[in-house]
Amino acid sequence: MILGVRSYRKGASASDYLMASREFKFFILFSAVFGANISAVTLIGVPGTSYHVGWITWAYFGTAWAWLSPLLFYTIGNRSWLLGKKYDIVTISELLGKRWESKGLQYFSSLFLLFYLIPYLMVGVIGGGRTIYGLTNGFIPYWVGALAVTIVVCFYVFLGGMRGAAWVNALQTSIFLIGGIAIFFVIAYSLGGFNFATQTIADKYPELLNRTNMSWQRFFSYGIIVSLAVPVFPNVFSRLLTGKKPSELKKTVLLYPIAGLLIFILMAYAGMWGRIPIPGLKGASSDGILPLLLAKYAPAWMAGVLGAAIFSALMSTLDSQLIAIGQIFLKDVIIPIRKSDTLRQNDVIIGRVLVILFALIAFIGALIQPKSIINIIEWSFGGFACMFLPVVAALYWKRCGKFAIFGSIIVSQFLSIALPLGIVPKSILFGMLPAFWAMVGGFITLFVLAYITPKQETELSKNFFSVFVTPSAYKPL
Amino acid sequence: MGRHWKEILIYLCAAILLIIRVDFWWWRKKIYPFIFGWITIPMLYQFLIWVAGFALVSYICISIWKDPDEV
Repeated sequence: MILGVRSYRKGASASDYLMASREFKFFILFSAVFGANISAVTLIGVPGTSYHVGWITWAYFGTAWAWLSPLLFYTIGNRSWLLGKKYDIVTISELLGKRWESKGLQYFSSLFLLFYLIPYLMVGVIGGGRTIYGLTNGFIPYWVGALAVTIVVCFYVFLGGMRGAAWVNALQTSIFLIGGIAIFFVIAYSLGGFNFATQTIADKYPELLNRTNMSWQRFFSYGIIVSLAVPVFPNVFSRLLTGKKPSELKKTVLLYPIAGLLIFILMAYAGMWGRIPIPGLKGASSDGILPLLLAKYAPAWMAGVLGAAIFSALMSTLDSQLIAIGQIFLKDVIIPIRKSDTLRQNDVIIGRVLVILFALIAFIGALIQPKSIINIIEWSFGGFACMFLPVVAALYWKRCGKFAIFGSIIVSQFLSIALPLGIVPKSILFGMLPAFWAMVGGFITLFVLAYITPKQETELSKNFFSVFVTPSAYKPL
Repeated sequence: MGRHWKEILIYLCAAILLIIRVDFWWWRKKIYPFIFGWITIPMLYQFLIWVAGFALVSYICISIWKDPDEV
């Protein structure tokens, strides 16, 4: 909160509030992007899932997402940064809208991004409530924890915008990385060491080592979904564009896989070992395993300090999502409606009102306490992953027209929603997650429509691709 | 080899890694930890997949990705 106050700039422009004037250097950029990505999923959902399915949870994320998402930061981030600098692009919908000079496409795609962003926003608030409840053994009610997280995040985002959030993220990322290591060692030590804990799991719960509770089809499809979804998370995408130079993003990409793997390994083993002292948690209640372990084994002060690591992770994502919602509303809805090209000074006020409004919506949604964090996330990630191909087509495929993008989004999003609901028979899934087939459907539609619809080569699209005249750029297809 | 083809090769390698990452031949087999008493062969295999992926990312960053001001 102090950093939020320090980062407050009286009379800051809307562009500065939303994008911090695109001036982040390596450490702040890494923290901003990594913090936006690492959420309640990692410090609450991963131990919770690992409790039921075992060590494979770290590989579920780590052996695809940890390296493939950074690789795709290059694919998408490098070109988007160049375009962002030239055309002041901030959001994915804006990129699509400007590439094809289509406000319809901009509105349409932003609708889907908001549709998936709001449940994802709720996850952070839910995580805050569950953590406080677990750490205090139920003394502090769930709703108080959820409210506390909402108020703190709202405060520093309201004041500092993107810059304030990124400064706080630098602190939060350090806290949850160091805290994650500490939590891992405290739990391992309390259970008799890595060796003893794992041998006990092998004897009492062999299914956690044998991967009986997760199918390989799910493992395969989720690896692809999560890796493709992250670069097109609205909150991650906009942060990829905040670096001062591409070299700042390059250093971020290089460090990303190491930090990513580390945090997932630590959390997955801690969650799996947690089954030994605290057996019998059913379903989503396992999301509270880490706070429960800390309350059981760490002294109160240490549990509080380590609990801060969990809060850091979930708040760093929550703040980025609130800013992303402000960006989408301002850049993809308000600016196109009033037919101007740039943000106005008083748009900062609109941005701040949106932060409070959506924080309130997330809090109210979190009070319903829907399914486990991982369930919400899998669905929401799937929806984002379907936006990956349109973004790649916008950046690399000169031949592709806007009708192919419309078609691809309609088909993939229809499948992404219809398959989990059973509107399309689940028998066609072959064990894969629905979003995998949604992406396949979107890809086929994009490819077919791109070739059967007329090529749309305008002056703007020529200028668009001329930005990429660097050695690192693909020649457009 | 041109930069364009190097990039295609890297994406191809990434796709192969995503496929071989699924070690279905060990899936649901009873495997005991044997390295340091807590690491199993499938764990080690998954770690090596990450190492290969990290090598691809490093290659992109070091050899392919050039800043506009570096050109």
